[in-house]
Amino acid sequence: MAASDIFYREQKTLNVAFAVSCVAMLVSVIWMFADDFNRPYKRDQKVFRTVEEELSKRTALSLAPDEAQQKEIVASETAVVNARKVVAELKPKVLSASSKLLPVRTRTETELQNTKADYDATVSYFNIAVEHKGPLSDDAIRLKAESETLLTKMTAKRKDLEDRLAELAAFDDMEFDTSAGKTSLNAAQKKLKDLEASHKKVTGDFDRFVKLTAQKRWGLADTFRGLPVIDGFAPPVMIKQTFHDDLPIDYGGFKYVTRYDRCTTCHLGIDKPTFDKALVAKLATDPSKDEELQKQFRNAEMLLAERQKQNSDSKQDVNALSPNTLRPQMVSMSPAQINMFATHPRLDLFVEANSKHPMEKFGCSSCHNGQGSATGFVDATHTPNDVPEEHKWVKEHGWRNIHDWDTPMLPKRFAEAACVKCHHQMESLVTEGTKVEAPKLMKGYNLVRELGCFGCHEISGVKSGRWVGPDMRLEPEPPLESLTPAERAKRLADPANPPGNQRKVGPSLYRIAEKTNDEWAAKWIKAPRVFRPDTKMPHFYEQANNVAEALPEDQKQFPDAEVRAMTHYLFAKSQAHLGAASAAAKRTPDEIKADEKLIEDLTAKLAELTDADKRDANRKLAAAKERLVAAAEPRPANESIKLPEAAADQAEKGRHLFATKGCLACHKHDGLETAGPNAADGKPQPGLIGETNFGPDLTRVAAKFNAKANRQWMVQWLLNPAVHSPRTLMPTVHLTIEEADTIAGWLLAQPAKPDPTWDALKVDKPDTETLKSMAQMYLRKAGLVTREISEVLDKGFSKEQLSYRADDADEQELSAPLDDAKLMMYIGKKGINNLGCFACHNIPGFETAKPIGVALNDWGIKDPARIAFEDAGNYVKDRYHVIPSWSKGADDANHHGHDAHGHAKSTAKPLERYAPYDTSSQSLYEAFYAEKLHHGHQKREGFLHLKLMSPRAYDYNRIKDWNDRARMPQFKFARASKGANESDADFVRREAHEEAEAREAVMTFVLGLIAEPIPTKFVHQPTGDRLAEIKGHKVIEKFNCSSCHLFGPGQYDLKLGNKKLVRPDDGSETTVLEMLIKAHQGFMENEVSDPKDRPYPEHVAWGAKPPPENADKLRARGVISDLNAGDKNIPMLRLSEALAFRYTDSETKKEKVASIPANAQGANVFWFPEVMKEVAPPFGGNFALSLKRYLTEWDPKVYGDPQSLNNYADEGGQAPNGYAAVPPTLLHEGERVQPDWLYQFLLNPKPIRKIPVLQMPKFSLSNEDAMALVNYFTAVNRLRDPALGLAGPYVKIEQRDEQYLLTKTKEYVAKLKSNNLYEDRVKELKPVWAQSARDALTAAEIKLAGLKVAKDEAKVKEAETEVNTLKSQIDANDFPAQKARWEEREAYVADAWKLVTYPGNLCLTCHQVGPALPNEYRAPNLDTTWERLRPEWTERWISYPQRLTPYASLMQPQYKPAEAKKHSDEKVFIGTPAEQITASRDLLMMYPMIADWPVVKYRVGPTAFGTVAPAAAPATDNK
Amino acid sequence: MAHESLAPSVQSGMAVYYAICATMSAGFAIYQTKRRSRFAALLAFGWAALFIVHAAVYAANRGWVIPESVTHFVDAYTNAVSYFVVSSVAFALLLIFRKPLTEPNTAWTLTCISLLAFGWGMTNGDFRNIIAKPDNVPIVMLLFAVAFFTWLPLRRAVLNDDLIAKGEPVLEKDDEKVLVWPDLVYTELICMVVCTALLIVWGILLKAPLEQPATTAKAPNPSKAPWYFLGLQEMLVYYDPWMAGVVLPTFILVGLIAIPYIDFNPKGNGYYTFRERKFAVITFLYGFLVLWVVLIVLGTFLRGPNWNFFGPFEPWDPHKVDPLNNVNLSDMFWLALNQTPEKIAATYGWFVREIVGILLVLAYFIALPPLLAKTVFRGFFMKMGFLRYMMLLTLIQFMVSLPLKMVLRWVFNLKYIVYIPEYFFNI
Repeated sequence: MAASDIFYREQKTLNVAFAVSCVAMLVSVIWMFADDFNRPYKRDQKVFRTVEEELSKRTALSLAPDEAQQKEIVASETAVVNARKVVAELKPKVLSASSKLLPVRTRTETELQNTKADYDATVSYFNIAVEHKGPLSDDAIRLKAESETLLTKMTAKRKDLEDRLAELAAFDDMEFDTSAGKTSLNAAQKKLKDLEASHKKVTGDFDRFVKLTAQKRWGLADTFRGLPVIDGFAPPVMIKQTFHDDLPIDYGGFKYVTRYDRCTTCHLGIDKPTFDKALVAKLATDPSKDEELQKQFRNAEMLLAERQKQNSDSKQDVNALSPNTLRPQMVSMSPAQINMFATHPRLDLFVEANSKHPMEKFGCSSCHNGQGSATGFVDATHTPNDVPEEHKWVKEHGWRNIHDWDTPMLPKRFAEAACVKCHHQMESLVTEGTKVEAPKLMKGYNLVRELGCFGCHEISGVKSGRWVGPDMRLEPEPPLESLTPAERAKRLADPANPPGNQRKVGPSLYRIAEKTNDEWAAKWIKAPRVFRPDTKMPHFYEQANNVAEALPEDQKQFPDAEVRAMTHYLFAKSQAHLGAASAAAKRTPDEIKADEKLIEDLTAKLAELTDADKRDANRKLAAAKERLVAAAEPRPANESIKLPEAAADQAEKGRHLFATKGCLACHKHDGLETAGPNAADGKPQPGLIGETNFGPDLTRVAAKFNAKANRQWMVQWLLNPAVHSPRTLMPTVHLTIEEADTIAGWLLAQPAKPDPTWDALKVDKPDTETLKSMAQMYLRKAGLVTREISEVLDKGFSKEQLSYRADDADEQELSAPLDDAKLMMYIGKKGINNLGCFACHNIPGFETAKPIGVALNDWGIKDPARIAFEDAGNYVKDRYHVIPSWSKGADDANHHGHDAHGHAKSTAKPLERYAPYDTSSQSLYEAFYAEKLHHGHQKREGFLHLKLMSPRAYDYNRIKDWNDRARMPQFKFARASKGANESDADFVRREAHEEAEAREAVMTFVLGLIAEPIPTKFVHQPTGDRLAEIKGHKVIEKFNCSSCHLFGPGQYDLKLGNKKLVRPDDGSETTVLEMLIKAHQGFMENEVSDPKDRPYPEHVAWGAKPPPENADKLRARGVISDLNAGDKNIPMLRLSEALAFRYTDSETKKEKVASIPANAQGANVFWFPEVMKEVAPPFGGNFALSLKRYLTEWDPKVYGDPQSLNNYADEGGQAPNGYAAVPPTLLHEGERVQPDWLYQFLLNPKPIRKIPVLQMPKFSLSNEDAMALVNYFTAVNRLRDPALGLAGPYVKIEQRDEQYLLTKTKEYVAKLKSNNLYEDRVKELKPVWAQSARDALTAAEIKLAGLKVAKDEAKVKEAETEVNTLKSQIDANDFPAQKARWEEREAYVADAWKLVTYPGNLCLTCHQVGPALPNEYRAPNLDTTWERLRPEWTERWISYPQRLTPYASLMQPQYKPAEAKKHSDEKVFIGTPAEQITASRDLLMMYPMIADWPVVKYRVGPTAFGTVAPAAAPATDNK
Repeated sequence: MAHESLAPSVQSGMAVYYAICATMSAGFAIYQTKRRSRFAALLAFGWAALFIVHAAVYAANRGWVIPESVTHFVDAYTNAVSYFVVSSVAFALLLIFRKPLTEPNTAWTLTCISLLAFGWGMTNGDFRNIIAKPDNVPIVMLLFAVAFFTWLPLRRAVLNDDLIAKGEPVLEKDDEKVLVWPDLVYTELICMVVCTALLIVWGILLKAPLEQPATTAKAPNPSKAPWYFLGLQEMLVYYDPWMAGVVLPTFILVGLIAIPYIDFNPKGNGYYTFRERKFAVITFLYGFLVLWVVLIVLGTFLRGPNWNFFGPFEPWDPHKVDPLNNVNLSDMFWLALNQTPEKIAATYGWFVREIVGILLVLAYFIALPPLLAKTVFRGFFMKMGFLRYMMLLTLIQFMVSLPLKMVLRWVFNLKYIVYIPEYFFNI
């Protein structure tokens, strides 16, 4: 009630205002609801329901039976309906019949329950009574009696109930008349159940998807549940999330917050394999145009209609649906939505519950980054992959950069960077052989490793004592191997700082002076790529910030002066080093001992000395140590190498040696790429192309040598590279000095193509003024004032001045009196220090220098605000031609005058001459990176990209001192070289592309280095065999082993299906499966008649596991090679592991499993690129194949037809040596060799076979490296072939066990006896025993004579007895002792020896076995088999060598069941072929034990076996 | 980065902005037409037309960008000194020419000019980035609100002063009594509803301005206080933290509390007037507008990374380096006498080294009040008595110490008047 009637404001106006404001309020609230209701994810989820519905509809349709099947279904449905009717009819009848009994049963049931309850209660009272009062108390006794009464009662009731139930059940079996005839309820029910089950089989899948379709349909109820407010209870659309408490988000190490990933709110089909992108995309097309689909729909429609007719009264839900439910509809979806709903492309690896990275455990944002808790496209920080995509997103989603999320989603191009987070062992991303799961990342890692980025930029992988990334630290200097065991153990035991293991990537420069000259070195430093376009050495000069145009007038001389000074320093130091080594060699051992003593004394005294004395003592100590080190150094080449006389045909010989000694496994040489004229001896000189750039391209190597001394150096280098560069990866290849000289001669004789750019390249010698002005700059930095500087530059530092400076101070170089050479030393040292040359090279004076670059451990999360972008944006604008993306606009933009934004092309001349790409016509630059340099958009990706492309760009337009400028050199990452038939323009374009890809790969790796401490359980920690495989892989990559050897087969997916393909051999049509069946049959015909005879089905080469049913593709392992068929070569897949497959036999209509073993004769698996996919190429062996081709051309007679992979012998009846002459494949190496032997062999290789043109070289492997390799082979074999049960690293050789021998002999003697051959053998051996006895007699007589002289009566007597016994044995031709011995232990071996060595046997064609010599030395000496090979493998090898090698093997299979008869010659050895093989194997394994047994020793040569040979030769296919 | 062309979304935003301006101008014109003020109406229609042209052009996606010559000119001449001096001068002019300036037409014209300038400025990416940051939106609103609430009382004060001069009753004569029911309660209810609606709409249109998660590893650059404290933060440029962060804010609070006890002027109660309360209005408005609001604007819009000054159109480059060659008074003094302050301190102790500064500060606080009492504030002293006079003077002296120090800094590069690092005490 108002206090008065007066109003201050007019009420009407207020009312209006109130009304208006209320309306505003209402509108804003409605707006709020609408806004929430229309959130994009809700819209998307609704669309997704339609997609789900439609997808299951399509699946249902694809399952819709055709007309013929429909009839069957309808019939079975009718049967079910009828059976159901019968049951329905019977049920009431049975019920009415049993109606009286029912209440009785229920009553009985209740009574039983009640009694049971009473009984239970009584028992519990009894228990309590017993516990409290004892079993004999009154209560206990009473209760026990009660419970017994109750029990009796209960038992009666139970019986009663059971009777009732039986009575009732009888009603079910009563027969009634029904419409279907006379039957009982039970029978009807059983029939119904059976019918239903069989019906379900025909229609189950179809019905299931139809039901699902109906379920997914968006209905009224869904709309209602989704209404505002009501949607608070059980909405049909809602946010979906996974949460990860144990994988939290790390906010800069300051706070860890549980990770909530709501990505699946929109990416709804991400874990569902059915949501294949192509399938989802198809839903957005018009279904009426899809004939197939329409047909399926008509089928389904008919079926549903028919079934409805059949059971109109049925309540089955599927049939209740209108056929229209299944009418395919088009789903209106944007391309973005298709993407959004599609499944993850790699469900086998990610997301799926059974994959290695299930979504439930890892979430999404732990790999992809981004704001997982966001539900909007923009807020989730999706990141576009390139600028066109960005523009599209801006338009479609209003996309913008979210600056406030520190780790936005990785764009697709860097997606692999996330792997580094958990995979600290990068090699763990290689799953098998060459199959890499993150190829781009791996490429980047390998580039960083090969180019030695870690030399300047530490990548330690450790953060506060935890592993957070890959460890790529340089190895300690001196390396562990040259430390004493105690020191090494100490270094290795330091958990905080374990020693690194990367070697410096460049050669040591300690002895550069004897290698080349300073003129060449200066030019090389200035522009290495001009000399050798694909060198790893980067460009330091002619860069954006030190090219003449960029330098002020008074500094234009600086770059050349610096180069000259550095060269001077290197050569001066090198000469001093060589001089010291040379002089040290002349020092006497006494002098050396004196030095050792001096060091000992001084070290002991050091602590007691005064400071001044200490300095002096330290100097003496250092000098003495240096002398000692020098004494250990090898002497200079000119003192130690004496060149032999050059042969007349040195050039030709050198070329051949260079080609065949394995040089091209790592190097290239243009002079060898094309075939040369025939040599003097008439042999052709084929071409051989080096395919790797592991070592430098040697084409122009002559140009850097010009004196005899250099030839000496080169011979020295070829003989033992470690003399010159101890840590080089180049191995010692076992050359004689003549061979080395021949190769060096050829190399040095190769005329270098004149290169005008190189010839024109000049490095000016600096004048004193320039040197002084540079020195002045450094001296100022060192803290000297102007007056002091001018004084020093005038006179140099006095001795006293220098004594105040540290011993290793650079200023020590400037001692008085000063001259240009000293200035050069000073500036050179400063320059080397400044540019970090020691990161890749060992340089005297820089043993302890620290890396100069920024550590990269966590560069991947470096805050862009802490990166100096400087004027990079303009640099790029002025220098490059910006293209929207490589896929769009790279090629057409190349030669047009306008860039992506339509700006006129800048004509500024780029500064990086000799850049890795053509800069003269405007290098291309992706807008994706260009934009990330501009102010406000600066991103680390942008910085990194330019830093890698043009590292000095950040000094552009900046005022900086000479020595404060950016120092990073410019690398060439892809190191592409021009193809023979490539035009310049094509090469430029290709190179630019490859360079861009390689650069991005390096970026991917660097961006992956984020040093985030991941909970241990998420860090990938391989163990056991897998760890061994990874470690071995590292070593293989490190030493480039895979260039020569094939380590693993390629992996190929063969897509099954109905696609018709034309067979290349006979032109007939076939499918993949048909081809496999035919190959299988070919194998059966060619090699075995009965597959049961295959001897080693558990081995991957013989047998394989059948693929899962319904598999649509097969994974085959092998190599691709050509089959020579007449005039054409047909590409073939040569299996290295057996391939099993399922097929339906056309005759019996039954499913069968068949398999094709590895390298099976007659089993041709042709290669059809359209249905076969190379998953991973073979791991290694390229050089071996090239060398094979070379040798074949060089001498086809010896090395065979280049293409005849499938032929075991050439025309002359001789197996071609081709594949045996090149480095062997190591496919089954783990099961093949004994680990101990391999370890020794790796560290100290010895020749094994005679055929190879080259021998396994000796690498500078550390013990750990060798061990890793040995374990690698065992591990890989075990992983790929677990059924073998391969032992390792320790192997037991059963044959060395005495007991084995005894058992075998016992068995064999029994066999001899049962075959009535015992006496034959005794007769056969008598001469041997006689010989043995005669030898023993001779020995005994000599002994006797000796004893007689010594007059040792007792012993003389003993000896006389022995002599007499032997004499009598020989006379009697009876040798009981020897016979007994033979029977006990020699019988088995004796016949095995006969088996192996009798004339005509294949073994001796090629192998030597002890004293038994081969026809021709083609194969390894079998004397060493016992320590080299594993027995199991040896057996498999003898029986069928072709299975175990993908290329033709020289050795013939000894096990051919079809020829079993031929082998069963009992005169040689009693046993099946298999037993014969085992016996041969056992013999080899026991060799050292049996070598001097008479049965071996005296049975060598063509007549050793008397009558046995050669008529009984068990001919294998002995052509 | 200078945006060469405007994104369509910005263009349509600009169109909406100009449309709103045009609507307001049109409204004002209609109001003036009703009041039969033909010239004013024409003028306002003219503004409305200009805005409509702008709106149309931007709606058609053909909007122009403010010329670089203008932005470069503005950036080149804007710095902390010019900004503060111009603000102070503008403040003086506002009070001197309050009569013509508060005239509705003039005021409206000025508003339109500032709206237009604002609109043109928004076409510059860097300007827009700062203004349109969700954090800064309320500050832009505050600017216009402050302008309006300064205009309103000043306008009424001008009118009232005229009325008082004519001897007529003031405008607020009858405003003694306001009814709680229904007027107050009803008005408040309406306000509540409108505010709620406004907040909802704001909440829908502008998302909460969250920044990135905090980490110890990374401090934001620039690190800014909440907007209402940015004036205080600006003081830190000139004063030691203990002065700028403790003493001065304390005096602001104490001073505001003390106003009723210091104020001896009985006039101006319950109505707006300028002439009758010149001293009070000038002092308060200077403190509030120039030393508070102006500094907030400075801190919000013009201070960028590393607390460097940036022109309104200048990109916030964290690598910009501003020279800071400031010297302490003691250094200046002793070096002028060919002595080094270090040596003085070593010989005589810090007190002697800082003696000049200490004396000056003491003189400022002790000698100045009596001097002023004898001269400029003679009347005040007589009326207020010693205690109240001293209180007033102390407060005013503290207030003035800020601009004083600013001037000293700009003119003499003076860092501290008293500099005693030995005790972490600087003035």
